[in-house]
Amino acid sequence: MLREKYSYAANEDGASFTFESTGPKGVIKKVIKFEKVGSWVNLSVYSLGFGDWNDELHDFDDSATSNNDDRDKVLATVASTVLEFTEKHGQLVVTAEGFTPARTRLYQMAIRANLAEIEKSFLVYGMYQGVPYPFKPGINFQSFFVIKK
Amino acid sequence: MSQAKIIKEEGWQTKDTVWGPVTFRIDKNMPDYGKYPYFRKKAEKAKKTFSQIPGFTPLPSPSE
Repeated sequence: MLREKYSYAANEDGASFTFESTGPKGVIKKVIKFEKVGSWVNLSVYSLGFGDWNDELHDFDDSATSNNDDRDKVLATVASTVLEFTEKHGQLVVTAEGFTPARTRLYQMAIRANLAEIEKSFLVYGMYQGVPYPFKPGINFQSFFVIKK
Repeated sequence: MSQAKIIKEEGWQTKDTVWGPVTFRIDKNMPDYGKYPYFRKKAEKAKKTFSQIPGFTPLPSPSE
């Protein structure tokens, strides 16, 4: 997580973030949105939404796979916004799930590669067949969630 | 956050975090991205998955 990150903009309530990915495919605007979806054991649960903004469509591109040769930098930036969000809003749950199994596996790889550092600040869980487990390599989790320590 | 070192430069600030320095700015005019169906779908999918955990109380969907 100490690796390079993009600079980002945050809205005033600290629940939306934007940054620009730059690489061979040009400049791609990325948007991160934390949306409250419910509560669990007295903790608010937020969904982490992440997408590519398409200026021509003036909307998000569901199928976007930007391939801008900056995957780790993008994921480190997204992780930083999770830290920022939880520091601003207190102890809560943030859940993340890819739109596709491939995208979810990408999240899993990123968590696994940075697990020791993430666990300094968060409890990390994965959902498998509808049951939450402490995150560990070797299980293809359906989704993930973290709770700020 | 108490050890955060803030350097102001044309609206951009850099602060130290447990995961290294980050540079950011506050955008008071950021659009409400939450209104787009893309994020609504993401939130509904997350809600459906998390609903498998006992004790979870989902927020009503906007259409409910």
